Amino acid sequence: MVSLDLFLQAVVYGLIMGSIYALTSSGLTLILGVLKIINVSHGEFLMLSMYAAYYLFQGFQIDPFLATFLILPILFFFGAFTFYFFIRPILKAPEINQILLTIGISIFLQNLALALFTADFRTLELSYSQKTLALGKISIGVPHFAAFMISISVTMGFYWVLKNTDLGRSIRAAAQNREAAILFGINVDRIYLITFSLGAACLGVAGPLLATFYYVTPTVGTVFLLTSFVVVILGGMGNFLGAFFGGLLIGLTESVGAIFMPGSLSPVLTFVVLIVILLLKPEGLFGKRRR
Amino acid sequence: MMGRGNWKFFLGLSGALLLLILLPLTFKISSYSLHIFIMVLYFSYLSSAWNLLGGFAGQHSIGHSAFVGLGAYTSTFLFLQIGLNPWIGMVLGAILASLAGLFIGFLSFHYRLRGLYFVLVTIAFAEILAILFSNIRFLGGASGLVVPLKEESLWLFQFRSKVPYYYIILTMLALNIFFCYWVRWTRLGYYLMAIRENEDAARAMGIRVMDYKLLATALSAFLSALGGTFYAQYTYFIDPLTVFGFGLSIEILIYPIVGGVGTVLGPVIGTFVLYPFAELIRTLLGARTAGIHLMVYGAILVAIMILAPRGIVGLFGKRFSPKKEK
Amino acid sequence: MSLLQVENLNKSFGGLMAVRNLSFSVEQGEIVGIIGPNGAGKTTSFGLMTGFLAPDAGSILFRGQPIQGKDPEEICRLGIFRTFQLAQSFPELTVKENVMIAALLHQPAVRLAEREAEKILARMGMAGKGAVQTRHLTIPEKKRLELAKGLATRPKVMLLDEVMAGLLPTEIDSAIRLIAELRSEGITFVVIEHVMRVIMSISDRIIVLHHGEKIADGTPKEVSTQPNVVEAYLGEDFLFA
Repeated sequence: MVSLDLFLQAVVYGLIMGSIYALTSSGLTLILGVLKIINVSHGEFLMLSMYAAYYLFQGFQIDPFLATFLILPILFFFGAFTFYFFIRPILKAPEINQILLTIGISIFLQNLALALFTADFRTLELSYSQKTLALGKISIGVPHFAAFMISISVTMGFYWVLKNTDLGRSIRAAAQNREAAILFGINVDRIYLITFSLGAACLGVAGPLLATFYYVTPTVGTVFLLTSFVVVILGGMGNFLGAFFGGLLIGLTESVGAIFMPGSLSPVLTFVVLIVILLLKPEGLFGKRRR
Repeated sequence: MMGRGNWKFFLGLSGALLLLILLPLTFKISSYSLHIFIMVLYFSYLSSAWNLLGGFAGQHSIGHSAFVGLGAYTSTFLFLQIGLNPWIGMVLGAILASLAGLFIGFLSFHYRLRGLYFVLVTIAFAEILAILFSNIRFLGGASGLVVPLKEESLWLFQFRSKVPYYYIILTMLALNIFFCYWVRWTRLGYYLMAIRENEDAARAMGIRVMDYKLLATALSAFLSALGGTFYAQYTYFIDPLTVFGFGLSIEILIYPIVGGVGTVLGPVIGTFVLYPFAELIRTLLGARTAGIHLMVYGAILVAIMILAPRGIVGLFGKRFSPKKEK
Repeated sequence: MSLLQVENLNKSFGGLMAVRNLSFSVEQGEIVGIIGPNGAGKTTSFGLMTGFLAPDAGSILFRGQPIQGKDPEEICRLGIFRTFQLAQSFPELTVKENVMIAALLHQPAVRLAEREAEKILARMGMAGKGAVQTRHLTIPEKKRLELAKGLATRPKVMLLDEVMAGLLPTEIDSAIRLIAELRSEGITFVVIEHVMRVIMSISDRIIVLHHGEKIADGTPKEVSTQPNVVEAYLGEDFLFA
């Protein structure tokens, strides 16, 4: 039997990682929903923002949580740049071409990092890296807790923007029906640009947060990319709330699953969850059925 | 005019085949160069297998390494454990891969989900196999499996020199190409293209879309797995990260798209052009700083997608597009 | 036994009732017209009859066998072909390839299917366009292609959804002649149309739909004088022959 403390500890850790998954997957699902593109380089944007946080701390002692305010706009513009020069030309191209293009960007960025920073695993040692908070018998790392709070807030804030602002409505309109959105006078090209950049900006927040307790290496993006894909299917493609709850669910599955099976096998549990969802409710937890 | 029954096409193809057959016999080729040739043929083979599903039927899998790995592991494992002949293991592995393909195909196609779902499911599936095989010690774990060195024999699919491997993969490639060519110009090929172009219109014409998608998946998986066994027998070593890797899945689809997706020879042309090129930049740039040559590779991919979206075959004019009648 | 029998068909989308208690029958060899204002449920009924939509309630019998809820490909195999308002074809493939693929249903041999496709294209007056990619066709040409594809599937029933829209009067006349010819060769037709002179001249019987319900079912003469039909079209830009 598993002790309750161990179980709760796993739940807590699962929710923390889950909040990060939720944040990274939100950006991905938005891009999928509006642009209908699978952005394979999504993970590399995350990786770059993690390196940015790392070097801002190493070089200028800027705390990663504060660095977020700097890195978010940087990633936003980086996303805009990438969209304008590389994604925009292929928006009307066949799906597989688009995927291959983002694969090319991914390979480029990953190896750029490799060339600049080497393959060494790096971790940040902050003054409070080892401090923990106590919640009854459960202990939570300070950086973990802060990351959780910020992830949730940003994701919820993003959701509020989507639901209640003109920009958010335009984005949702463009996702549902491009032609109708144009007829309503929405500048769809601009919406595409903003959506992609916002997706990148999400990673500009997630990166520094992760860097406070996760290792930084050129290939770290791939790990989160694959998990984000699963979350996106689970939540329903293009479904923001789905990505949120899906992220938390996957975080929990991985973490709680690790108690019952060897830690490195827990992704298999994620896959089992994926198969079950695909068999029972394939449009995702929150998605809508066709036909 | 790479069209049906076109004698120029067959003549050109036969000529190329003849050249490839005579190559190792006529010239003194270094072991390294021979290895490159074998890899080019190997990836041409895998790319053609992918193209059946991704190019003809338009169902894009970015997890084809799952099938390659299943083939490699089945034959190697059975060879190790019960001494089963690798050729037989090869067929068994291919059957297993087909069943796996049918499984994930069913999951993805059953509810008429958008094509993107299939892409993501295939990615997840290959990843899961990689993790599973890395963690199950019985199957070799993360350190993989080593193919036992018994004796040089065709029967045991083992040779000391690289030359027999060259001819085996050349034969496999040739058969694969002929198969793809045959499929392309029969009802199966037309139905797959119809499904690719417009699924609803295909349904309205009585095409059993689900059945054909599953068939294409099973065939593609079967062929890919055969390639996996070849790889295992050639390199004598397989591990989960390589044969089930995301990198392999990506590489398999780069060649057909760059060459010309949906055409019979596109995958081969793409591999013949891109693989040696990648090797070249690796030797030129790879030595000093790790990663530079791959940066160039990534940039080239981006450039090709923007500048030559129909691939190399498309660049040479509409005459070579098989989508038009001769 | 009627060739096609629709009984108490119901279909709603969200809160909107698209088709309500719809019942009618079609006999072998008939040409039945379906008319009604926009949103009356005409295209929805076609969707229900060909498997692209599943009804909430009711049944559709083809030769006595229920076909509601079956997959579209099965219904096509049974012999019912339907055209789409927005012509659905294979954009990158040629005109001949499009018809060939339809012909492959009953003629699995590619070369023979090709011959069949050529014959059908010749009959439709499109023999010269065989090698053109369908994305380069004009709208009237796309509609003729739809018909050609349908013929290639050797249908027993053809459901035509506004095939006349956008055609010139001479083109309309040839279309009417073609339909009459095909009917004499044994094909039954159900035709949705807005061009009244077409419907009035070719239909044996006309069904009028309004807000998803059948409000009239009779010969063209009977239907055109029924008061509730006239009323349904008041305010609509409509000419009776």
